[in-house]
Amino acid sequence: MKLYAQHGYGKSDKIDRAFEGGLLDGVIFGPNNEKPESLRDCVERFSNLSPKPDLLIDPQLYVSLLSNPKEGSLPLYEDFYASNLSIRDFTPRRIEEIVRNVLNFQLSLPVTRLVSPTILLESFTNRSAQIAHFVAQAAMDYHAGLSSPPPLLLSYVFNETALSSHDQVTEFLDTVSLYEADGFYLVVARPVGRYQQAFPWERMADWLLILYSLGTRNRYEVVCGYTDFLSVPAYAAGASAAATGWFNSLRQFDMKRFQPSTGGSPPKDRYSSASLLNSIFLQELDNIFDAGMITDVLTGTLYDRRFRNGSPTSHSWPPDVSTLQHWATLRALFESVSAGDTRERLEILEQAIAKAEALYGRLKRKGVQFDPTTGPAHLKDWSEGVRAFRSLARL
Amino acid sequence: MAIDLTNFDPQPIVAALNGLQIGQLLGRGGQKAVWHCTYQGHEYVLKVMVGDPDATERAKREVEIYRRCTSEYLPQLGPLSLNSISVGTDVVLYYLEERIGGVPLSQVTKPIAAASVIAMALCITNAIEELWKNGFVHRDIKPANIMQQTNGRDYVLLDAGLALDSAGPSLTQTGGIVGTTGYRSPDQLQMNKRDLDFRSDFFALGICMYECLTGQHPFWNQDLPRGDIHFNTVQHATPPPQRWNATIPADLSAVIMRLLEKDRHLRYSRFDHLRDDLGRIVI
Repeated sequence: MKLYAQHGYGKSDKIDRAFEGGLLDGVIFGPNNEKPESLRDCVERFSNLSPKPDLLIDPQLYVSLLSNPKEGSLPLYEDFYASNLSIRDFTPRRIEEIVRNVLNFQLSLPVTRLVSPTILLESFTNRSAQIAHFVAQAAMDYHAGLSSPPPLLLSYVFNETALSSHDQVTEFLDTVSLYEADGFYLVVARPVGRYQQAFPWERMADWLLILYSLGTRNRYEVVCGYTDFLSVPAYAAGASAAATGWFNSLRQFDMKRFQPSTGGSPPKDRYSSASLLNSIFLQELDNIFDAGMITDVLTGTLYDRRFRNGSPTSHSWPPDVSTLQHWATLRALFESVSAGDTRERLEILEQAIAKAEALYGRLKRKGVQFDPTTGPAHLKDWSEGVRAFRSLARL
Repeated sequence: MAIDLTNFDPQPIVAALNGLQIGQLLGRGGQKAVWHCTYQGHEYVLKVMVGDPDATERAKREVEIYRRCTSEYLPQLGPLSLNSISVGTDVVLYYLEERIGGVPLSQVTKPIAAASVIAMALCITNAIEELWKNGFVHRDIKPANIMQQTNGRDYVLLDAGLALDSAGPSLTQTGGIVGTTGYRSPDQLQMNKRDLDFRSDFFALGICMYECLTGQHPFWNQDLPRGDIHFNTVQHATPPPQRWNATIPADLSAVIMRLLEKDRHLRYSRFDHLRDDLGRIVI
């Protein structure tokens, strides 16, 4: 399982340091947060690293269909990005043009995968879904005519609610499992409000089914964008790579990210714990330290040694180090569920979920309180979701 | 009312075709009759069909399939394409098809050795692929339509008379379920036939492999809780072939179980993936 940085605003030197530390395998660039010259420089610079990381660009065309979107730098990408698109614009000729422009732009850079454009799907069977399939088909057609291009990933961005209908998920899979592409770049839009790991279990089961069918059964390369801790079950089911970034908005995908915001409070410092399968507040880690259970919670990365002695909030914990520790935690979790086949990986994951639940229980008995978003609520979802997925996939 | 071929005498066709000699009757029903024959010194199969509009379209399709599909795992069209002849006030259609010597799998004693089942699966996979490349789904894969050739190694998929042309007009009535009971996929039983693809044929291939290896039908055996084969096909999670014979290689059992998945996206969606998995099985 590969781990990618989900690129966004304020990358500083985090990605460089993560490559140096062996924490990342690649980057998925978001052009909205990078001017064209800078994006070009970044891709070229990273492409000269050894070993060469995987370098992908999400065309973010879905932003164009929003009402009054916050497009950032996207309009500067005149080669491929068009503002103010609507569903009606997606005529066959226009689709061909859009796809050609998007892929040609990526071909002008040393990317390792081409990523097709797409639009947001609210369901797998509505008009938007048909258009997304037309766009994917156009990308496959164009890609087939290229001489030795990088592999093509078909991107689909769908709302979490699309996962509510198992029949529609099946129909989607029946269709895309026949596609002549190298893989998929999948993003689930999850308007959950505050950053958290919860995922309604029925939807999670169908999401895992998608990854299993495409990745394990049909041997596609499946890259999951904005996946964060859910990368771990994604890996167990069949994903090849997952991406997560530094801000909460780069860890969970919400279209609100591309709409004008009213501002908000700065994010609180967090610590990512492999044993809790969660990212908790640093203040909560303080309470765990006081309860004498810090070693049970620490992932054991290079970055969290400082917390073994003394109250965590008394240590410097800058955002870039917190990000590196987050990636290191996910990397450690991938290694922990690494096993021969899907069934074995799922069993290890289920054990990890049970251990996390037990650890939360012990912490509670020691008087440690958690915020609703950092507590154990997601573990029940995950446990039920994995169980339901195993039933769907007869695993 | 169209002519009934149950008692049809092919002499009018012999009279019309110089050099045609009729051999053994291979099978017949009211709508279709098949004979071994020789024509201009070579052996063929003579297929005769009633000439009503539906049957004519179906016969045209079958001939078109054999004209377009050139796999050695499908019969080839003979030197005489679709013709018609008047018999009284009726019309019958006929054409010549390559004669495939051997024994249909339905007449082979089961269980069959794993190596033979793998060989059969590889041949039929190639036949399904050739059909699909040309836009067809066979829809009637069953042991009676799989001929084990006299060399014992090669298998040919017969009788594309019920095949679906994914791009052509529908030849069956709306709602009519095509195929043979016990060898239909959940897709055939539940979906609009226009949406069928080759993965439906893969399911039927899985049934044939299961039967050949175990001597048991996966959805019609003494272990099953209900006597409704449609229900079992759509709902019942059949036990792996190893349930009946523990010596069956686990990898082969896994391939068959994958072919028998209820959801077609969980079956094979690539011919080379199926061939790879079959080729990796150690006997």
